[in-house]
Amino acid sequence: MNLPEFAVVGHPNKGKSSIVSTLTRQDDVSISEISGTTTRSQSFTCSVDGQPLYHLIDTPGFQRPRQVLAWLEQHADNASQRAETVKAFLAEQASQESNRFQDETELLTPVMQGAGIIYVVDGSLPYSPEYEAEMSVLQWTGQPRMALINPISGADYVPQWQSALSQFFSIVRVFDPMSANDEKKRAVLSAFAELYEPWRHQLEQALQHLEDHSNKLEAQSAYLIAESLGRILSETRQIKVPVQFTESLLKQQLATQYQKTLREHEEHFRQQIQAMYALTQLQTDAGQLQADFPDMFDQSTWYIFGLDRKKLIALSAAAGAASGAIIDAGVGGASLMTGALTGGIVTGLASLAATRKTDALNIKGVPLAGKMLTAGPVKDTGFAFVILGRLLDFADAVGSRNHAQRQLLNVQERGMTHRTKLLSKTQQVQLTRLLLKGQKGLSQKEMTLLADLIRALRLVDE
Amino acid sequence: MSHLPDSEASEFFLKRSASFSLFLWLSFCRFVEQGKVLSLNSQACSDISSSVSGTPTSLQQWLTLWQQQAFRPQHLIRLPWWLWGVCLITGAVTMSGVLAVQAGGIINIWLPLFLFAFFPCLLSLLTAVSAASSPEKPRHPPLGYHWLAERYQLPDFQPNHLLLRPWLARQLQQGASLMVLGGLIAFFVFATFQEIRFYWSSTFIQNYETMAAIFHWIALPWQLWLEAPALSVVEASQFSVQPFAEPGQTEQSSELWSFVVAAVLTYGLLPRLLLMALFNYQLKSRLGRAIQTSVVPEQFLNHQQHTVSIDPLQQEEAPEDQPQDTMPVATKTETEEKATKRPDQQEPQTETEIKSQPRIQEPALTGYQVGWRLSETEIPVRHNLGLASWQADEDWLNQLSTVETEAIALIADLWQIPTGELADIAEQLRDKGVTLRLILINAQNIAAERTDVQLKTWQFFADRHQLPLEQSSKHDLMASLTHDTERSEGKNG
Repeated sequence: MNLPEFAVVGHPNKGKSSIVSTLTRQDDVSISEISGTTTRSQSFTCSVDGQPLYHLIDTPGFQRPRQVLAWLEQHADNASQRAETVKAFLAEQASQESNRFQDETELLTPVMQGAGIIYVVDGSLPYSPEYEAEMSVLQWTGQPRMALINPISGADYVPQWQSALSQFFSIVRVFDPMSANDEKKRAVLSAFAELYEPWRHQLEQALQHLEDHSNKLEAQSAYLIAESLGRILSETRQIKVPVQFTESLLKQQLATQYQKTLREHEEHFRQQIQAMYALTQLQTDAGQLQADFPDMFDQSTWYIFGLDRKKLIALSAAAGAASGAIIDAGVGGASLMTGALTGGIVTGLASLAATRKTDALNIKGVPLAGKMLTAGPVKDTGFAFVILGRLLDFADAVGSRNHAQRQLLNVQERGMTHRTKLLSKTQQVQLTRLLLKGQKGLSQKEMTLLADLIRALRLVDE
Repeated sequence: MSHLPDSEASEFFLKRSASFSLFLWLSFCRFVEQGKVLSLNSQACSDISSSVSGTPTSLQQWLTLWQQQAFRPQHLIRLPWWLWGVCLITGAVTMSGVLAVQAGGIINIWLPLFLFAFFPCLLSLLTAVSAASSPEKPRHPPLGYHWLAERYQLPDFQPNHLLLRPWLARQLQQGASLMVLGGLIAFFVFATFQEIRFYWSSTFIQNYETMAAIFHWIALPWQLWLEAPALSVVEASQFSVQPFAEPGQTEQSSELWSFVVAAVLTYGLLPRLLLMALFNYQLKSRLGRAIQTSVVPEQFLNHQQHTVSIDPLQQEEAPEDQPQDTMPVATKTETEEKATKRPDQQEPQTETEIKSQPRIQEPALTGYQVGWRLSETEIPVRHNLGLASWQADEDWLNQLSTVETEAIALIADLWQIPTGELADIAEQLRDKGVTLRLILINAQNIAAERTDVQLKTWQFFADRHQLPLEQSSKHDLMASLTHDTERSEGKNG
């Protein structure tokens, strides 16, 4: 069975390509701010897990709708001949050497081959009678059709458009391809399903697939964050100290190398997230990431991503106490809860000391066949929260970015203080414990638990 | 706990042996990391896809296509065959050393038992304990990882450590099993061509009944199939008895061979085989989990299904050798110099070029003013085109007197989009010998940030259709138009 296919048509420069881009999850749909540059129709397919769900055809805008309408009116005797007349028009244009109606031919051909029509208008500009010729031509095709009002730079004229479009289209929806979240995209696709009965089932299935896929991406990205976090937190780097070199020089070199490695891990994570969400345009420029994002080791920005000092110390102490309580439980309570108390005090004090003097690098020498300098893992809980905050912010920014957007990726720094409120107190302590353990490497079970907690911290659609 | 959806990818990769699955997956990861694209020609797709378009319609089909096109048998890592030979020979040589006694000589039973049963069993136990106690800590790569990584160019990231650990452990168990097997083969070869007699001796245990009990305990695992050495056999095989043994007793001591073989099989070989199965299982389960949580299949699909958009501005490359027509031009501006070519001979402009060339002039209003889709009725133009039917516009053009209108200022709202119909009208007017200018006014007072984009659009249109472009505010235009009207009225008066 053929897949549902829709031609996205309209006046030039009304956001047709943006709509195609967002609804097919392809950020390579060419979007030009200069009108009249799209002269050929091109089909884009929305696929999930390799399975194509529907096609959207990006078409050139109407250039000579009044002339087409005049031609059609001249060649049709009655309403029953309208669709045939449109076909005759296309046939005549195809037979001519020079086609003045190239844009109309390009946009009407897929429609007459069976594609549904999605007519796009700009809700930020007033309605005017010049659009009526376009809508009339579309009416003549006899194909199922709906209208989307795209509020490109405001919704001032949306009511005006709604009343005008409802004269020509049975379904009219407002849809902003730049800011629409998953729910709004699904609402528009549901409207597609209403458009033409034979496609209803396929489009409803497509909606289900997209929802499942969205959940899958959410779970996978949470796991990717957990994995990258584990990798960054447990990273160590070693360097041998030959006698002829001064140790301080090598320490500097090791610190630089270590920081570089952590940055590489973070960059690798970003590339993976971008590729996962099919943001290939961002990926092609991956040599120099297009994210406006402070550096990982710029401690002046840590307050943005991490937790405030009070919260950090409280959580670290609680996590330490929880670890001590395991020992207490192990001895059947014979320790009179001294394990929990000691764990809480020691971890809390360590955290307090760390917040006073943040030391991103832990370099130590090991006397082993000469001397070995080791950098990492960073044992500062604050640093772990900072990294988690950075990864979450980036994943949220990419996850909520629509494929029609072409501007620089703007990562909104939400900070962990705000995010941790999404977790219960027990979950907050669990998260802190996992971050503390992260320096030693996490087991599969712990990694899964961390991914679950991270999933609860996501703010994709906020 | 998070529940990842059942992965089609896991199904595809895990349907073969653990080793094959692992390297199929690693090879796939490498393919995706390298950003390669599969060929989608009809021949390549015809076998796997039943879709109308001939392209794969599911992840399974995409993966099958990848396997057909990109996976090569050499991507499967197999340790060199001679390594297995070395293991086999080492076992055989060791056993030969143990058994290499003079014909009729006797062998201490503890030596083969220690080398081929108890010591391997101890190592197996240690391996099992280490696999169970720290199964999934990804911090350090397993022994041999760097050799593999170099040989196979594995991307150096930690999930692969997790996968390679059980695979390497399985290989080690295979090697150890071959050593035991080599020992057994050597044993049977020796036993075929010479009599092997075993004895036992002990500093502390002199009582053969105690030793019989020990043999009984050792033989517990296989007692259902093979009995433990009988008391008389144990007695006859005591070292101190051997020199004084009668003919019947020496035969009894050679019966111990079945006990030795059973011990080697049970304690030497069986744990290795069980560990191999365990590591196989561990590898498959870790691989399954890794595939399920991996973003690589998603990246693969996104990359393969990525439709390359046609670049509209690049499509319109104009041939360079076409002759240039001359056109009537009002002033020598850069725009008009370009306008000496017909629209289809225009040099294509890049978007960047358009963005960097704001060449809009200030208007000098003289002559005849015509509107293009103006919604503002207060602008006193002679005629407003574009709103009525095309026929109405054509009628107006036909009845236009060229004597009266040798120059026309076509006034349009900046917020309008210039279309082919405007170009047609411009062309028809020029055919009548009218000199045209486009004047833009901002009549809608809508968001300022879009003004620049609209200007570029009009600039692009003007360049394409050889129209000088001018811009004016609505206020200035109204003032100029009023002054112009008064002047023409005064002239008439």
